[in-house]
Amino acid sequence: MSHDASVTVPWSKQLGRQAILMFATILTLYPVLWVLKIAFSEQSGFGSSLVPWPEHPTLANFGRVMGAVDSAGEPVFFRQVWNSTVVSLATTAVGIAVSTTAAYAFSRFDFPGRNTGMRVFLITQMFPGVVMAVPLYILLDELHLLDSMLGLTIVYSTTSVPFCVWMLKGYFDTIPRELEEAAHVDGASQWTIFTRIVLPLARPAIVVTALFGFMTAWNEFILAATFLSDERATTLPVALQRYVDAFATDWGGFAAGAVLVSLPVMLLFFLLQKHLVGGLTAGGVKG
Amino acid sequence: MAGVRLKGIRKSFGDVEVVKGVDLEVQDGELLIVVGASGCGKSTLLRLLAGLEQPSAGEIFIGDRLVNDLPPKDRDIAMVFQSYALYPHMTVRENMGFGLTVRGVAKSEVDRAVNNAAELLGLTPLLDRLPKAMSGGQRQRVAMGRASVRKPKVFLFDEPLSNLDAALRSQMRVELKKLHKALGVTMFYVTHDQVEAMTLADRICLLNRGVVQQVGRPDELFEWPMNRYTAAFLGSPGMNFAEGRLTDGLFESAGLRLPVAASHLVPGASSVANVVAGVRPHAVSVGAGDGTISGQVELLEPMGWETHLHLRVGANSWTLRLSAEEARGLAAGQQATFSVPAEAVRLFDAETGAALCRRPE
Repeated sequence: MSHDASVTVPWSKQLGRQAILMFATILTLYPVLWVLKIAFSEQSGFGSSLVPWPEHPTLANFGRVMGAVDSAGEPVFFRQVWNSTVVSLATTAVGIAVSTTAAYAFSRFDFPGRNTGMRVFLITQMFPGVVMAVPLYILLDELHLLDSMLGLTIVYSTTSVPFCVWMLKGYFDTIPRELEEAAHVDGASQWTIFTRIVLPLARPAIVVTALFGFMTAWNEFILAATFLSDERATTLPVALQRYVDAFATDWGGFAAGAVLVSLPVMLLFFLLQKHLVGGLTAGGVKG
Repeated sequence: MAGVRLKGIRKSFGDVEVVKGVDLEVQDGELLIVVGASGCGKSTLLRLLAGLEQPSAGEIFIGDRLVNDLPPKDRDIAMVFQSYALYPHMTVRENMGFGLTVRGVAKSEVDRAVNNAAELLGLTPLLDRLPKAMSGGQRQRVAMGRASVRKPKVFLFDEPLSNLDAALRSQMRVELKKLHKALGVTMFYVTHDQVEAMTLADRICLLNRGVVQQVGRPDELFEWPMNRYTAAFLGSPGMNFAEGRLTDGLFESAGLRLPVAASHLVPGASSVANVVAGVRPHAVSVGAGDGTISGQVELLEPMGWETHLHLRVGANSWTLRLSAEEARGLAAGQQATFSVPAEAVRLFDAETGAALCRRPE
């Protein structure tokens, strides 16, 4: 079927299509709008109104979240932002450094255990994170890395590397080998070829992988909640959870916190959007 | 500059041996073309020479240096790939300068070398473009430019023109020949296209299933093939063959009576029970002569300047190339007789395929 603009779709069909799309859009956006409404509303419970925007907009919830203090009366919100940022960036950096090199080796070099290695990576992805929580807790305890950003970074990096390697290897496989052979003949070392030919060409895949690594660390809750007990050492998802406890729930604070937590990720997406384009290898080989 | 010498080169991939003991010498400054059908091992031979593959046996010399254990970058070679293999994220200037830059040459030096090479190939206006913004012919020229910038001892070409359309291909052929003249450097060139081989090469090496069939000047291979494979590979339309008997220098078979020039026959081959005669399509003319070919005209293919005539000769279908004039009186279905001079007939052993004719001394 042609998707030419000149093809006319009967109005009845078009109406049906638009209705489905609108319904799906509303379904997706309504909860988000609801969170926004609560974040900007005064009362801390659910309003009974279905209107997804605040009746009396206020920033009070945001002020309360940012001004949160720990048991000693010290402000902790920005401390937690800092924790999340450092852990997420470190996880991304370590993950990218390890997974690009590993994926390149898996893609290009022939070594014993190559196929087994890839398969083992896949198997590790089959277990839910909770399964790992207890053994990891014991390990980190032994290493005195509980309540530490280093410990969390190590855990996050190791859990995200297998997926990143799979993703990057798939992309490296599509980069024509002739390019590397040409560079070999031109006199480039293996490392030069990797850094100056392969990595620049794999930029879209690396950006996606980095984004994935960052988001995994930024949003992760279960492991962080398990390993971090000191309020000053927690990351934002754990801090958020404290607004919902067994006795009382501060929905306003929770929603405002959720909005604040998702802002950086949204910002990252906008900034990196232009790198998420394929077709970088166009023109390299063939006509 | 330097020549290239391959001694007893073998290469296997798993159980499959693709190069089976090749001995080949390329003179300093010579353009040698290795030609053969796809899968004959010619590209593997080139990659062995480049150092992108390791030979299973044998020795490779570039100049006087044994290079078996040297990585590609230390062999002082440059290679032009069939797919061009231009770095897509680099401009033409960066592509061409890459080989010098990674070797730590000063930027001013790189610029000068790139500018010189670009001028020689008419690439100066394209220097700041990316490969994707260029046509196939331009990319091909950049690939040649990239190879020439470093002034390597030996150029390797892997089917460099096969991705171009016919018109561009013949134009690039001329440019390549000019480039070879201008640089005077040793070139090792691989192609499946016999026209490229015939028109470009100083010498041709014909390869079949990993075995060298013949090495020599293009006209030598064409006129005096050393075996049936070589005879059949070169020329378009190809040589016509028929099996028959040779008695006292006269070849006979259904529809054929071909005397063979005595001076062409190898000693002791004047009478052989089972031989194959070969006649080039262009060697015949209409009417009876010393050698005769007779049969039924199957089909005429007029091209304007000449006509290809398909003739049923015994059990074979022969293609004859006639001038448009000569073909005028002929029609499909009729019986016709053509003549061949004794000097134009080639004979091959029916079993081994080895030539029984050689250039008279």
